[in-house]
Formats: sequence, structure tokens, C-alpha cells
Amino acid sequence: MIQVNNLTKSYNGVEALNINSLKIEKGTCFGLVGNNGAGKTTLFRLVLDLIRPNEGFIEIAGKNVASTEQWKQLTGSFLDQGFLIDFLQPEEFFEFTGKIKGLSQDDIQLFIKEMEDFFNGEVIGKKKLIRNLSMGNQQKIGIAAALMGNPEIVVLDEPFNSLDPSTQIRLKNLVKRKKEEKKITFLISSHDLNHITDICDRIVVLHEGKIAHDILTGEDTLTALELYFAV
Amino acid sequence: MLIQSFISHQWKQAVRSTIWQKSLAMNIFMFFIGFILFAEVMVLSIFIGSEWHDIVKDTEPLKAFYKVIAYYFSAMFVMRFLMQQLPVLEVRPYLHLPVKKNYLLHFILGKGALNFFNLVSIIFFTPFAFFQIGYYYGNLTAVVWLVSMLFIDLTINYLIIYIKKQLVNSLTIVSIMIAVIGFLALGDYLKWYSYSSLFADFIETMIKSQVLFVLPIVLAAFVYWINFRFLSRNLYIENLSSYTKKTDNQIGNVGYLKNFGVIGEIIGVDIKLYLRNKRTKSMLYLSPLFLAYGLMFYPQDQYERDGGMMIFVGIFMTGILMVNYLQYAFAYEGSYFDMLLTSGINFKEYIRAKFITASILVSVSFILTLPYFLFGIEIFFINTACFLFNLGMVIPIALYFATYNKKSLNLSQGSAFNYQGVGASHWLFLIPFFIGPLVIYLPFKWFGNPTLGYIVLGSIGLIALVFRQFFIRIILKNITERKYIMAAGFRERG
Repeated sequence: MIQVNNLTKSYNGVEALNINSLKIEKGTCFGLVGNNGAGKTTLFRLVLDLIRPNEGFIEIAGKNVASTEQWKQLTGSFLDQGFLIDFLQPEEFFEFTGKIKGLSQDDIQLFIKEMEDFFNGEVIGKKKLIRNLSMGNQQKIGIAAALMGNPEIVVLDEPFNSLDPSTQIRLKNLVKRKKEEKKITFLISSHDLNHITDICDRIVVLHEGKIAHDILTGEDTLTALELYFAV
Repeated sequence: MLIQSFISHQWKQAVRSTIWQKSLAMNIFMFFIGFILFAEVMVLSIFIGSEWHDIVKDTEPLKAFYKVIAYYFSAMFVMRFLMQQLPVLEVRPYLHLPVKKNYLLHFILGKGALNFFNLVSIIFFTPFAFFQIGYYYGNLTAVVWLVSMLFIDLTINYLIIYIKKQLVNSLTIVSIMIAVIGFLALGDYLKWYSYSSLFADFIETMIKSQVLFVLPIVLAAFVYWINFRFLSRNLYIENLSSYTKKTDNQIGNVGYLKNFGVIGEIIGVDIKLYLRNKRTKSMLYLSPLFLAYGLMFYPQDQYERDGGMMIFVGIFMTGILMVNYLQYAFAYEGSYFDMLLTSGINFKEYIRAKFITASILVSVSFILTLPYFLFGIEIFFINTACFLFNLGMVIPIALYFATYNKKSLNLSQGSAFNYQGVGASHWLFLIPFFIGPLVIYLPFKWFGNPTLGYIVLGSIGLIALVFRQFFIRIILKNITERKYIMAAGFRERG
């Protein structure tokens, strides 16, 4: 589904990312861990064609992301606040995103209804602008918007941040369910080793821009990761 | 010392901002313009100050100059309103520290006294004070007189700060103020009274009965206090994001747009952007003033004969709203530009939406300026030519250059403190848009056929209109090439 080829990215001469080859199969939940500055967000931005690689390229469904547009209809993403239009109400934002993704008015209402449990009654019908909601609620909106329009790939950068404990659990269930039902490929980064081993089939550890470990999740994965990150 | 660290933070903020570093040319240009103005005012005021009695040949030279001062102050008022930056301090990082709130407020307001216009006033008044007032009344009176003039200037300074801040807070107060000022100006115009003579009499009385010198100081202190009170009431964080009013959250819903698919959605978001953010809202409030620009020029005969000025006024009135919108068409959306890039939005439609909104703005401005035909039917023809030129030619050019505007503008933090207002650089950016049409028109005028000049101007607009799809493709290509640079610029907040 996603293929990374000889990819390098450097900022002001300092190498931020260097991945020789990485292949992510359809329907995998791909977890990305690593300390600050390891290159997680850089990789995601490259996947989404938000920054230009120095060398190499990334393909989604066999097409280079930098030279085509079709992948955008297959991909939902939420990296940071830059993916939210903060002067809209949540409903208006979903409507805008839905329309761009080609959903009808009914589809959009259906989607909002489906997400009601995830929102826990704190997002819809509040008549508040997104910028006046708490960070956690903004995070929920961003994650939900990434799931709109039946995407085949969903990219989430540290989605567990600022979510309350119950919502973290709801998010885990949501990811598992979507993976089962729709065979969505997830790319998720996180600092929470528990969560990421819980939901992901495959975990890649980044260190200084390079792949340090590439693990298929098993019984002892969590212990191995904890050992790796121990100080 | 606290004040030293404040000043050093401010300095670092200014110097380290990427905008400063990246648009060095712009800054040098601004400095250059400022320097020339400065030097001119200095030479002129020394000359006038020392030679005034020879220049006017009036029996009361001082009184004649007081009348000049009256007009100086009212011109200053308008200039400041359009160009003066508001003093800004990002208070949030300091609010939780053991710093006295009043100290922060005085710092902000004190910073407001340091600006270009106040410097101009010092240069303007000082030579006259010593050459003329000193000559007639002695140097001590000259100093006191100078100080009181500068305090009147400070009063205007703080009045402008207050008005500009209220502009986004309470439209009522601003409307009342504008109504009062307009009424006073009208009274002067209709000769119910003479503003300049009254002012001159006041200054004369002031010099004679020394006590009145206190009045400007009291006035300045009063306006300062009003500002202070306003700021201290708006210091709390909950006020910083004061958009909890439910009515505000509803405005900008235009159901009609839903019939136009994705383009309608994009325009809808643009409308909400304009109506729900303070910065853009204050721009909208100013627009009636732009449309009234013609009133300053049309009633006067000498301008009516000068076609170049008429073109300028026409381009300005029909185009200023559109140019203001397009100049920041992408920058205003900078805070969610990443989302636009990844969402699968068709960028061709996105650009078309911008074209449509801009065309509507130009058309509405044109319709609103139609009544000016009362000043002469040729004004109608000139404005029509300007409208066509704006519609066909200026829109694509402005949108093309908007892709080079990669400074992220913080729209939502529209508090009294964090106000990226309309400053001088904003206006300088617009100069090329107004020079272009003149370059086209003036040769025709010089060769004795100004009417043909208008026709050519309008025709260029019409022809450009036919090539709109071509322009859209060029802008699309430019965005595709520049999107990484733009996105990186927008990601650098603050």
C-alpha cells in the first residue's frame, strides 16, 4: 500500500530522516515510536507530501505522492492543529471536509452519528467554535475528520496526546474496529508504548532518522520496547 | 530590571521573526521612505519656522500659523488612523509571573507613545517654538508652548489607539466618534463656525493666560487613563479569546452556497473567515471609508480636470476591498494550509473560488460607487473602465503575488494586545496596483487623447477577462511549485 524508497530529508544540512526501504501492507496498523527529534513527524509529512524529500520518493498505491493527487482521496490525516479550521463549528468543519471527500449531506450526518460515542457528547451541538474547545476535544475532531469518506489509509501523529483516559480507550477500540471492518491501513505515532503495542501489528522504532528496529507485535514486544527506551 | 528584560524581549521578537529576516528588502525600503520623509519635514519645518513672518506677510503671523497647526492636527488624525501601528505585547507569558499587572499596562501604553508620528510632531513644532514664539514671548513660554503642543499630539496618539482598539470591540463607540467628527467637519465646511480660527483663538488665549497650558496635559492624561482602564478590563485570558458569544458563532451561514458544491463550500468558509475573526472584521468596518474616498476628490474642480487622479481614485474605490482580500487570500488560510493540501481539495476549484469572491467584491464596490455619477457623467465612464481593469487584470495579478505572502497571520488571537493591525507596510504593498493603470493611461493623456486612455484601460480589463482560464492555470502552476515553501512559512506561527 505504501512504499518508501531511498528517502532522505535534511534541514540546513542536518539529516532528519534516512530510510532505505520501507513497505507497509494494506490493512496493517503501523506504529511509529521514537524519542523527540527521531523523525516521526518528518516521515508523516513526507508521506502526505507536505515537505519535499532531498532524495527518494514515497508511493501510495503505486503512485508517487509528490507527482499525483489521487492518493488524497484514499488518505485521511491528522498531524496537528494545522489540520483544523478553528473558526468553524465542529459540524461546519465536518460538513466542509465531507463535501471535499465527496460525501452527501446524509452521509455526513450518518458519520457524525457514528462518531457520537467517540465524542462523548462534548463536541456536537455545543454551538462553539473549534478554537474555543479544549485541546482534547480539538484532537477528537481532527481524528474523526481523518476517518471521513472511507479512507484506505489514515495517518495520525500522536493521537493519544491530550485525550482523557476514557477517550484513549475509545480511540483504541475505534482503530481496532475500523481495521477489522474496513481494512484501513493506519499509520500511528505515539510516545505511549502500551497503547501502540496494544493496537499495532507492526512497530518501527526510529532513532536519529533511521530505522532502529522493525518488529511484528508479539507477546514480548512491550518488554522489548521498554528495554530499548530505558535510561 | 524588569523593564530592561521587556525591552530586550520585544527587540528579540522583532529581530528574530522570520518575516523580518526574509523580507529585508521591504524593511530597507520602509526605512528609506521613512528617512526621506523625516529629512524633508526637518528641513521644511526649520525653514518655515525661521522665515514664517516673511512667508505669510500677515498682520498676525502667529495666528496664521496656529490655523496651519489646526489643519496639521486633523491631517495627523487621519494619517494615524490609517497608518499607525498599535502597541503590542504578548502578555500571556507574563501574566502568571509575579509581575504587577499595572506595570505591564503602563509598558504597553508607554510603547504606544514611541512612534514615527510623534517624532514628526516634535520636528514640526520645535523650530517654530524657538524662532517665532520665543521671539515674541521669550524662551520660557516657547518651551511651555512646545510641551503643550506635544501633549495635544499625545492626546491624538492615544485617542487613535483607543479608537482602533474599539473598532473591533464596540462598533457603537466608534460610530458615535465618527459621527461627531463628521458633524464637526461638516459644520466647518458649511461655515457654521471655523475650526481653524477657533483653534487659533484657543492657542492665543493659552499663551496669554498661562493657566490654560495645563489643559493639553489634562486631556492627554484623560485619554491615557481611558486606554488604561480599557486594557485592564481586557487583561484576563478569558477575554483574550472573547469569542464565546453565541451570535458570533452563527454568523456567516449562507445556506444558498450549498447549491454550488465544493466551490460553494470554499466560498462559505471564506465568508465565515471574514466575519468571525477580529482582524478581518476590522478591515470590513473600514471599507465604507474607502468608498467615501471619492468625496474628497470629486467636488474639487482642479482634480476633475486631472484624469490621472480620477483613475487613481477609481481604481482605489473599486479595487481596494478586492486587493485587501486577495493580498492575504492564502495567508489568512495559513493556519490550516496543511489541511487544504492533504484533503484532496481540487486546487483549480480552490483558485476559482478565490476568483469568484474577488469578482463579487469588485462588482459590489463598483455598484456602491455608481452614485458618484452625480459629480459628472465622465466619472461614471472612468470608474467603469477602472472596474473592468480591476476585474480582468488586477485580480489575477494580486492572486499570483499572494502566493509569495507566506507569513502566517494569527487571526483568532484578536485581543486588545495581540493586534496585527493595518500598518504602513500594508499600504506600501498596494502601491504597484495603482501605478500600473496610470502607466497605461498617462501616455494617452500626454498625446492629447485621454478618452482613448480610458477606453484602452477598460479594454485591457475585458481582454484579460477572456483569458481568465489561462490565468487560473498559471496561478495553479505557481502554487504547485511553491506549496512546500508556503506550507513551511505558514507552519512557523507567531
